[in-house]
Amino acid sequence: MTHEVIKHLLDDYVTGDLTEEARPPVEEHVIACALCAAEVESLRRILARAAELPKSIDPPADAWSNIRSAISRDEAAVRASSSVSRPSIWQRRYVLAAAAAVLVAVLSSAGTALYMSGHYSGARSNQAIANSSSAEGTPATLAAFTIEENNYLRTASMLQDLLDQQEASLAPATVAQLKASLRTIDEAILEARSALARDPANKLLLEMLSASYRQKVDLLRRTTELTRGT
Amino acid sequence: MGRRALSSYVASVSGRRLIVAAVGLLLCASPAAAQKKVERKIPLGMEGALRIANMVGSVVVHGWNKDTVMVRGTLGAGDTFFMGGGYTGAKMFVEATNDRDPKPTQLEVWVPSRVRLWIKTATANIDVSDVTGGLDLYVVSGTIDVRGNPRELNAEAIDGDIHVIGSPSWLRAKTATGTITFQGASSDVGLSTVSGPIKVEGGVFERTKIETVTGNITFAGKLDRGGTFDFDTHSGNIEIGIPQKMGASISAVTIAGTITNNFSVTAPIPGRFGRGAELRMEPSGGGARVSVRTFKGPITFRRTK
Amino acid sequence: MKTSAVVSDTIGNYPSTSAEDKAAALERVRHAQTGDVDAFEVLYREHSPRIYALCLRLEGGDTSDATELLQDVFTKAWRRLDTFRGDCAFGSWLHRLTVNTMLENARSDQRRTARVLPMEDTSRLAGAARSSGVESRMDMEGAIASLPKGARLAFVLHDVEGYQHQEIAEQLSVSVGTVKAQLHRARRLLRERLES
Repeated sequence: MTHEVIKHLLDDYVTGDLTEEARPPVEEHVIACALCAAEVESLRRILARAAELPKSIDPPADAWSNIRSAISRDEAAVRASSSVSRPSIWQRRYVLAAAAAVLVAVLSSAGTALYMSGHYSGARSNQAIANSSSAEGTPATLAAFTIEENNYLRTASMLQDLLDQQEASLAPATVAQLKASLRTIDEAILEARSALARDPANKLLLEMLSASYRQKVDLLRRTTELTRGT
Repeated sequence: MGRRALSSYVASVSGRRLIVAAVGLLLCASPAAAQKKVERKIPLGMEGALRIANMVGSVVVHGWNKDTVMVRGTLGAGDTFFMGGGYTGAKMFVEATNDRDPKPTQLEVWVPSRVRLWIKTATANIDVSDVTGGLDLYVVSGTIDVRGNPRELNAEAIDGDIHVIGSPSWLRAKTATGTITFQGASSDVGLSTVSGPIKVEGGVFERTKIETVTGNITFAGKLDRGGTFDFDTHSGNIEIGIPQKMGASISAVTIAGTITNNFSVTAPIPGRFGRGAELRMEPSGGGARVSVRTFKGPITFRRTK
Repeated sequence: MKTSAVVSDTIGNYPSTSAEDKAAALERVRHAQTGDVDAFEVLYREHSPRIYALCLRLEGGDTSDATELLQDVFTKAWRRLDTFRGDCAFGSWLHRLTVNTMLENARSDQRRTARVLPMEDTSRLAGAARSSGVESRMDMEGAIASLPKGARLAFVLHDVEGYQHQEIAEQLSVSVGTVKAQLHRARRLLRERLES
């Protein structure tokens, strides 16, 4: 390859992008050609300086407050554009935020259980589930799980409450299916819970229970979101 | 402050919203009862965003290669149709005169194939084909049918069924009592029901997580060598078909159920305290990692071609 | 070049390497996705220095333009947060959003002001620092800021941020050949400005 050709390959040579075949002749030429060698060195210096540039630079202090204001204005605009007479079908984020605010409040007050009297059979079995826990000293994993379980129960109760308010917007058949699904999950939870009481060190059971609670909360959350505006 | 004052910055930010904006959104309302048919067109960029809401009836969507949204439909008695938006984002929805007794509206929509599409219904069925963008589909008790290869597909129902034929790169489908069927291939799948059955078959899968509470799970896909597959149920039947020549590292545990291994000669062993069963298989050449867990649901492994 | 307050010289925390880091990072995003603005602020605090550095270099060192771009990016990120699926690191997602937002803003600026910034235009330079006695890092930032826009984009994304040619080509909707040509041009200009 001639100098005229190779000088166009020096970038790729320096960054390691040349093919296996192209690299040796270019390398050979660079060794022999002072001009190309100087260019290679210069390129390497530039790239080294680029790599040394700080990847993080603190933004101005007031940037966040401007962003927060923009977010608040956007969301006020969305609320303003949705009138009472129009279905609130665009308010998914607010539904999510409402339910999630509940979730966050509950999860942040670990250890305080609040069992509401049932509107759904699921809520009554929440009480049964809580009562079935062993009263005796238990291994650390089960104790930690009991706190998480209380949080799930409280969250589920609060979401069920939200759903109660929207029950009228669901078809009776769907309400029946939903109640049946919640009963199914609760029965699974009770079975697993009883098994766990007999075998408290069984981590698989703890994971399965967590998964069932998660599915229950997820079903309630999804239904709450889907029925807003229907 | 730089080129623009803060107030105009905020105004311009609001003005560029993709969805519901107080500024720049054109709404075209059909006269209330006089017009039963709908036919509209608006421009929408090939990768624009579109929201559709129609509670009762049907929403049928076809992807095409034009930067236009076209809708044809028949409105339920008393329903009003709204559509509007800009080149980057648009929406259409049907408003019922009586929310307590909405009449069915049938909508057929053609959309730019790479659109980001969000559809919500209550009992209306959703049918989407040939969209390669992103799909977010929500029904309460309608059915969701998707054919094609969307980049992302998120489908949620309460008691509706979800059927997917194609190869979404990323797929999440959830229903409580409905059925989920998936014929195709995907690199990231999450399927979940409470009591509905889940049936998966087809091409190569990579990361897959399938869970039910009591619903049965049937899986007969090809497992990517580096893939991970998790199957969880409380009491549903799990049946997993593994291709004959495919190596897979299998870990199956049931607290109180049974395991039947028709894939290899490895026999399951009793579980903790003699209850339930466990099975572990490690092929010599490595392979996909399969994990199956049930409380009392029976697990069956079988060999497929 | 307008001076920028370089407070932290730490290299960004991309990519997360440990599984625990990744899980914790994803959890922070999920939290914000529930509509919690305070959780989103946590993400802002975590990622804004990296994004601001990118904004500053993409905007040729102009701190006002860079700040506006940063604000645009995070406002847009908030609106699109539920489209983030966890397929990549959140920082990478923000990074791409930054480049896209900068390009969209540039296009709408062109439409709004009917003023075209040609690739050859050097009149909008933020100033090239060539005088002796200037700290070498400031020279480098100034020199990058003085590059024509196309060359600057390619150099910042490839040689500073570490994107591959193909990734840059896809984001800028140009060919890989164009990216390489702009890179070559950027490096040549930088050598002229810093070493001659």
